[in-house]
Amino acid sequence: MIPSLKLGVLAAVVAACVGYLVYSAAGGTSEYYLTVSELRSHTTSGVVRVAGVVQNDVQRSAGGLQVEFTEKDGTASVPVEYHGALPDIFQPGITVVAEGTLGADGIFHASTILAKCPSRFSTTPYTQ
Amino acid sequence: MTPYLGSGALLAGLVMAGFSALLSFWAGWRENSVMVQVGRRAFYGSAAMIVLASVLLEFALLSHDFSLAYVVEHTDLSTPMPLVASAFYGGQEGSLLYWALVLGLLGSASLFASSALGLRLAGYAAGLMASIMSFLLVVLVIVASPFDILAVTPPDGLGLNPVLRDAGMLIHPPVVLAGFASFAIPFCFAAAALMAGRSDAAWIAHTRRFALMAWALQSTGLVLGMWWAYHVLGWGGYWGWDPVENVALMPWLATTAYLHSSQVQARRGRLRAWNFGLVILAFLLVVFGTFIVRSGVVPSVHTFAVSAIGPWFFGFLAVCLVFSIALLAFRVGGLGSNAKPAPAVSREGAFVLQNLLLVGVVVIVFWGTVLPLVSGMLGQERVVGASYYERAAGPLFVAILALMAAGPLLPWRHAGSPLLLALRWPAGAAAVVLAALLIAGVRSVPALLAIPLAAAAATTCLVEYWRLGLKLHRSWRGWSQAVVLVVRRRRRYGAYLAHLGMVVLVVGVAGSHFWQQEKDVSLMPGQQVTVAGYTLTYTGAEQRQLADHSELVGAMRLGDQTLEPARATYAGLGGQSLTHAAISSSPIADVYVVLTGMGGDGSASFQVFVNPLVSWIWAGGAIIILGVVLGNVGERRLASELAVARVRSAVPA
Amino acid sequence: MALIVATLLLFTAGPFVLWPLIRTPEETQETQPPTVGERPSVAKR
Repeated sequence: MIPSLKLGVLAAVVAACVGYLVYSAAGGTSEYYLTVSELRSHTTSGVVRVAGVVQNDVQRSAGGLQVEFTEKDGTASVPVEYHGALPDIFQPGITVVAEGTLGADGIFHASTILAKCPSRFSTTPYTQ
Repeated sequence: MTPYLGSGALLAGLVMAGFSALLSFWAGWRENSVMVQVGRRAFYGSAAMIVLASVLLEFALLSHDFSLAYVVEHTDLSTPMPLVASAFYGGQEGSLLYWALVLGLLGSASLFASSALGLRLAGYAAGLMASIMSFLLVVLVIVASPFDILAVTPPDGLGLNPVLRDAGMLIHPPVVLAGFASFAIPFCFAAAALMAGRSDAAWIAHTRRFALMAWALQSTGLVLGMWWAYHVLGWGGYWGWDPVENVALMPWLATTAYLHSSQVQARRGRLRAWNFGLVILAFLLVVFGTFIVRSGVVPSVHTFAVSAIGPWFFGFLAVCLVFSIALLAFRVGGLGSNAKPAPAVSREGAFVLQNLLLVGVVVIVFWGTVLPLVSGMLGQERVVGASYYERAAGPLFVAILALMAAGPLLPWRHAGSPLLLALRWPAGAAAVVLAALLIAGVRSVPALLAIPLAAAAATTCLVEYWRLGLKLHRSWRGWSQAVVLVVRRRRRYGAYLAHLGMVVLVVGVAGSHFWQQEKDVSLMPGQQVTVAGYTLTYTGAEQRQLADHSELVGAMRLGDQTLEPARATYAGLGGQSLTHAAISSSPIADVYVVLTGMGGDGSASFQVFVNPLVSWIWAGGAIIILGVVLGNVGERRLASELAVARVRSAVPA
Repeated sequence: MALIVATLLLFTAGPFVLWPLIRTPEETQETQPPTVGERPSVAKR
């Protein structure tokens, strides 16, 4: 086999492996990333991520490990229920991404809450 | 006064950078020695202006000059001084200035050392570097100036966000930002060589040296980032495959590939087009990464507000992409080599396969990072989590580990039956470790693959050191002679040390990944909890007042140690509170405790993690850097030796 | 104001940057072969 053909075959094999790995891993684990408004109209029952702003009605119990709050975005809002340790900066007014499923009861049962880290690179100007 | 001086310095720097770019390109084309020197000096002058601007900004920060918007936004009077100083690179505008500073200093050093490369190459390289500098300065002067002043000077600033108030802030960002900026330098030399239509031994050595510097900086930055995330974030982890992390990893992967395939080019003159491609790819990934990270187009736990500089970086990315593709398209034809490729089972073959695998990982990480962007444009936005990266890239990493075990033992050319004999040591080590794991009850396939292969790779390094020892012993002529022998081969043995460090790091990652244990628990004072054989006793809570925050500490006793996980409340920032995890480290495992809250009845809730082998990650990182430093210190002579050799003989371009 | 500062800085840096131009005409008194571009010993920093 001429050398460049050998290299080409090797590269093709590696590329095929990579393609397969990407396809199988992404297909099985990717989730929809929705806004709260989109959540209502989204029909899939699987795990999704929902981004929204935490409202003022945060209720904690069980030593801080259980929390209920409302996520809002634009016009739509959804109640969220989560059991676990919350990100440090969790408080009303910050944007969070809740990962979980929307129950038949209309409550979003989150398995993970991600909060957006404080903006290092925000160019919001300082106003007095 | 300071802001005007600073703005003036930036403006002067921009003028000189623009002048340098235009003149250097022209002078390189004309091979005009005097003008190449002038162009280079203009770049030095631009760098000097940036140094001046940086000094002025740092001075404004340290003297709490609240007439500058930047100082107000990122510091306040109660922030400790080291963190005030770190605000220089902590915000958008300052970090861009820091980028320009690194480019100016390292770029000047690389140009200073480039005089031996020939006028055309040196001229084009300076022109390219000055062009990148000009772009950064345009953004700094027009769009994102750190010297913008406020109409009214407030009495105090807004302060640094609590999450950033940690020792990690002092070391991780400057190193990783410097790493990003330094990838521009090998890019400039690679593109210059393509433009000039030449590349020889001296150019390879020069480019490789600065690629290695960028690689070392980025490796350090990545490990420091992992260390910082582990200590600050309180989830017991150190890597989340967040877009910000991914864009730091990708150029590093491409450069790792280059560091190996450049050896093939140096030895046999092959893979030249591929090497150019890798160096250019690393830089394009940096520009792409900077765009992604500062424009807010991809969801990330690191918020980057949609900012004005996003479109600028997008434009810069487009220009660099078009330029690079055109350059490669026009020049790649002349880069073929006459040397026959080595057989597949050889050192060269191993490097080729390793390169393909590393590029494969880059593709996987890239796809995961841009999927939200692409899917969002085509329909419903989708994201992937950590499990995608682990499932897709994991097998490739395992294969790379296997190559690390076999590669160093393969000869450059044909590998016959002596190869099997040489491989018996790593194979034996792998078998022993595999048996031990199976006996211990481990059934996870990734662990059963990764750890024995890591042991094999480590064994290979040790075998090489053993062989060196034997060689020294056999031809012993005194200590000084032995030292000379080692120093002459230091690149190789430094690289093996770096390999060893990488293996240690991989084992640390594997240990903490596969065998982490965690327990959520609520305790009254005096109660105990046991996780993975470690018993902790909750001894009670106390409230402490510090300079800029108050802390609620929930003390735990582990053996004769006291761990103090805390929740810190920063009053000046609207009551934001932070976790300070308490960590007890040992070579075997970390006990990592987080105070999640207090119950009304005096109970405290904790998350307790036991993370095995995490210290190996930091140790491995240190060993990698040690290997790189020991293997490459004092290489200046090598470059000039090569230059002399080039003038004397006709080294194939 | 920034423009004034910038101009002043440029004037200060000018001589340093243009030094090779200022110096070379003096050197053309000595025999100076045309630059071919491959003279590492000549190329200055």
